[in-house]
Amino acid sequence: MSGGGGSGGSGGGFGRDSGIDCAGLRFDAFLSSVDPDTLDSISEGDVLPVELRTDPARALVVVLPDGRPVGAITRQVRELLRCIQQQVSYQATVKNISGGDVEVLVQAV
Amino acid sequence: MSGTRGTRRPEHLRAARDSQHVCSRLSPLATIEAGGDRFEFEWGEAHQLGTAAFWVQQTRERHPEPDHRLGERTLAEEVVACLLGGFGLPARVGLAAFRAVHEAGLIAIDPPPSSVALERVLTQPIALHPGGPAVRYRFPYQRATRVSRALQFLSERDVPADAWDLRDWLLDAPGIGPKTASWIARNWHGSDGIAIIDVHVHRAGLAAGFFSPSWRLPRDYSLFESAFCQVAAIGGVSSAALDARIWRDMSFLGRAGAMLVGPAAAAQAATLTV
Repeated sequence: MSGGGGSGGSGGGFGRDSGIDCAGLRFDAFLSSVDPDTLDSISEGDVLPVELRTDPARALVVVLPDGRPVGAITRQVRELLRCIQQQVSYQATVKNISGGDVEVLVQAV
Repeated sequence: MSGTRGTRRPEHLRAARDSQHVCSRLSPLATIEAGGDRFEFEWGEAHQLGTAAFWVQQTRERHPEPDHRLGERTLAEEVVACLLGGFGLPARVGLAAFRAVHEAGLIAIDPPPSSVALERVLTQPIALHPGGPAVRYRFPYQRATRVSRALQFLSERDVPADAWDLRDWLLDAPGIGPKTASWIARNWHGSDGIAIIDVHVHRAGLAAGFFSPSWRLPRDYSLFESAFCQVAAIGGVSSAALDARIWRDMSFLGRAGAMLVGPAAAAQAATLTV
């Protein structure tokens, strides 16, 4: 454990997570911090790209075709990051829109 | 939806604005004290990768195992496991080395093993798991000496009962610094309030802004620990769980960790020596 132990720290941390099936990574998620101005632009069934943005803050966001972010993904973040680094792309299918809540299915393209 | 689903903003946070969405630049500020100084940093939002808010949310959503112990039954085992792990080698290799030493019957304090006996085990190829591939342990001579001396230390003294006393006591053992002493004490007692500031936590804390770039390890270990435990308290999670979450995720991500905390933090962490 580099670092140590990390924390090993972290404890328990001696164990190492297993590899990920990036192509098979698939999960439902409610988008976080939805931009209400984008809600009129999406419908159930829409397929939108997932991007890693670094401005104004680092976030995994679901974006409209014009690039405006709809909301952010906070589930399975580490898996998504590792797979994105391996050049796997992801998309989000809008499953449900209720009030300001947007539920999507995230899966590899 | 604004902010984080289902979570209340802690009172320690001063909201820069009430409503956050994914395009927002503004972020709530948090205040912590360390070394008599108060400083503010951006707490962030749960979706903002690498912020304190992000780590707290990840800690809540993914529950680390409650038992942090690496050894099986004794403090001596925990000491050996932590000494064989640590900086400069993957966690699985450290754990495999611990198993090899354990199976060789060399985790004992009456009498403690010689460094030569430990070297004999650690210089052999070590199976990562039963029947699995074998690897070479990177620091057989250095760690053999440390383990032998640490077990000698344990054999000559009464072990303090309290976690913090144990941590301080271990600092007198040859080859054990503040991070390793904290790691052992936290694992053994499962104590909250003891933080393990390793390279991953250091890197994450710098990026999140709750560690000062002017602090140095091991000199300022207590400042790092104080800041880290305050962040955990503000977030309403245990410092042990937060530490475990950060370590697991950063360790898992490896080079991809730069996508989470940014290249600047990665560069700063590169200069870390613990």
